[in-house]
Amino acid sequence: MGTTSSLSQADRYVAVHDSARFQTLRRQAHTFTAWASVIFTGWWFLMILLAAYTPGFFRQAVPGNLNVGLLLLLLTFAMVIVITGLYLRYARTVLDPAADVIRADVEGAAR
Amino acid sequence: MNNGFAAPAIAAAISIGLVAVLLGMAVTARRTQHSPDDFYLAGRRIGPGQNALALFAGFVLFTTIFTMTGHVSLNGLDAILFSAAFAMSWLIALFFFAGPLRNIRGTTIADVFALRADPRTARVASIVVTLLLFLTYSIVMMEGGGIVARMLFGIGSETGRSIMVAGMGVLAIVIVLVGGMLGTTRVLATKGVLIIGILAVLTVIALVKYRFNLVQLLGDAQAKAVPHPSGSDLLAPGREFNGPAGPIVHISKLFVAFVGHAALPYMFMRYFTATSGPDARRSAGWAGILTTGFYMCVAFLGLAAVALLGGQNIGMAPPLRDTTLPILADHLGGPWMAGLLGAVALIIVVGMLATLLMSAVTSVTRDGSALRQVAPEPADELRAARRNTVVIGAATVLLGTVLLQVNVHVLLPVTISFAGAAVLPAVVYSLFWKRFNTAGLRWSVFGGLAVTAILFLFSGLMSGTPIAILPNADFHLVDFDPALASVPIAFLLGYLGTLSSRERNDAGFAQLQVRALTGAVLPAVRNPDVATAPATGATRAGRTPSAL
Repeated sequence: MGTTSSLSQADRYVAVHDSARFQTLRRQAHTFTAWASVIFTGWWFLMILLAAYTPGFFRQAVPGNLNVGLLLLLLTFAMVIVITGLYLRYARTVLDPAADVIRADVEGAAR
Repeated sequence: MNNGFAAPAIAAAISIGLVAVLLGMAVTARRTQHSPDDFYLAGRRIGPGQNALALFAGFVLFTTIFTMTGHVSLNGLDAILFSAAFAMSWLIALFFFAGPLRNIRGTTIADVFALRADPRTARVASIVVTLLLFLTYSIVMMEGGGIVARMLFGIGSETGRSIMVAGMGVLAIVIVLVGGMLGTTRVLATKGVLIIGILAVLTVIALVKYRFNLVQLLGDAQAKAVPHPSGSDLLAPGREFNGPAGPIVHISKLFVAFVGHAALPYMFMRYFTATSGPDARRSAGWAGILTTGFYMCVAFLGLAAVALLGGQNIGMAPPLRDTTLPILADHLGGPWMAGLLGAVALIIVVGMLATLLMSAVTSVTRDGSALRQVAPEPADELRAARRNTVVIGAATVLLGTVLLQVNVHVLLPVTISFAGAAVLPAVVYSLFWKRFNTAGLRWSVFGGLAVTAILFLFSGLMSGTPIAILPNADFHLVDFDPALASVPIAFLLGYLGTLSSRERNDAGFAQLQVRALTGAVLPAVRNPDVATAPATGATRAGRTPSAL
């Protein structure tokens, strides 16, 4: 007992979990998820309530036979694509490299 | 139903060719089926491109494309809003399901729950949820198959329709039996390509007809739409919001589609087949982008149908609105286009039935043997999985064919409500809440199911409305779809249940987070007492919380 490799599996996961490197990764991943969730969930609930209770606002004409409601819908579709794109890029450039280092470390030390 | 727009002979000819191709795909996938993991997970070798196509295709039901187009033609902005709810639901799939679930390397959702709760409870929860949602969803898919048979293949008799629907079911069983997850995935990817192809072609033809003048098209759609009793214009909100029971009905639909869709087992189990966590994330992201483009085409085609043909000449009442897309296809591309659309509709139904069956077989076989605490030889498990494919598949086809006469379409929002209430809270708590435990899992999953079932029983989906299962009875108390209330209640139940028990397993939480975020898996330790520690209550409760 005493060396890393003889710790129980559960304790080794706890050790990795408490490491500074993992805590940084966790904070970055969860911060992004939390902000994105607040933005897209908030946007969607706002859309639902505006459409249901302020139809006059949605009906307001915009040049080109459009109205505010259709523009907001186009923005919603665009938002799905933009948030997806931003997250995929953030994950690829920031989260995945950090995760790979930790993973290689964990699985390497276990052998 | 007058279906002069359909081209049954062409549809049948194209279908026979397509079915031959799909069966060929299943047969070539057969060679790779050496172990249970090959069967359930395609050996976790599905790349992000193919998986994105398969996820997108798994998302597109008969109603997603046919009913939604007619819905847009009838209800305009309110219907497009509904389709946006589904597009938004992919963000939940992207952030909370795809990467984390694949990184944990599960086969069923029980492998995730078991890190936070008693394994037995986790397995029972997984099997109950997966099987229930498989059943209700499959029945709706087969109802869609019946509509395809009547509307696009011109089969008038009830017997003929039953035979055709049963045939689609048998085809799905054969695809799963022979091709396993790999065959099913290839069939779905093909379905995805077909859907994108036909929608893109129709969109381009309609755009050319209007000389790319979208402003004119919007104006014509507004002008030629059938007036609505509520007085709302096509492009303004109100056609759905101003129903007899007020805006709450449509609000609940917009909520249900958004929160529930990502939590359907047959959808998220596809992430387990990805080559890696990042690839699962990429496939969910691209599936979401494909879905968004798909719905923009559907919205455009729905409005184009009104603008080109006039609201009077396309499906006006809800049961007839499914015909809008075939009528438009016939108008834009003639009988060959209508026939191709019929064949694609058939593949849409078969692909859904196959991927749903795959989820049920995986859970019943894998969770089932874990529950009985047996570790079968791989060859025996593979044989059991194939036997379960036949048994579950045949029983479902029989049930779905019998229920063709019943108004089962309302089971669609009910199924998504079940998923939102029973799965989403348990997954979110598992991933992010350190304190979550067995009691919390039990309360959120089974409480969520129970609350949803009770709300459904007393909703306008069961009785009191023309679309209800029992349209002639009326004992409904609530007007909204169940999830609007049952998802928040299930979150609350999971919270209260967790606090009601002293059990806590901080080590399990640490393991889950390390695995979910990095994909790292430590090999099992040799000492069996330590390796099986999470199963014993003393060890689970023994760890004191570390102040993080």
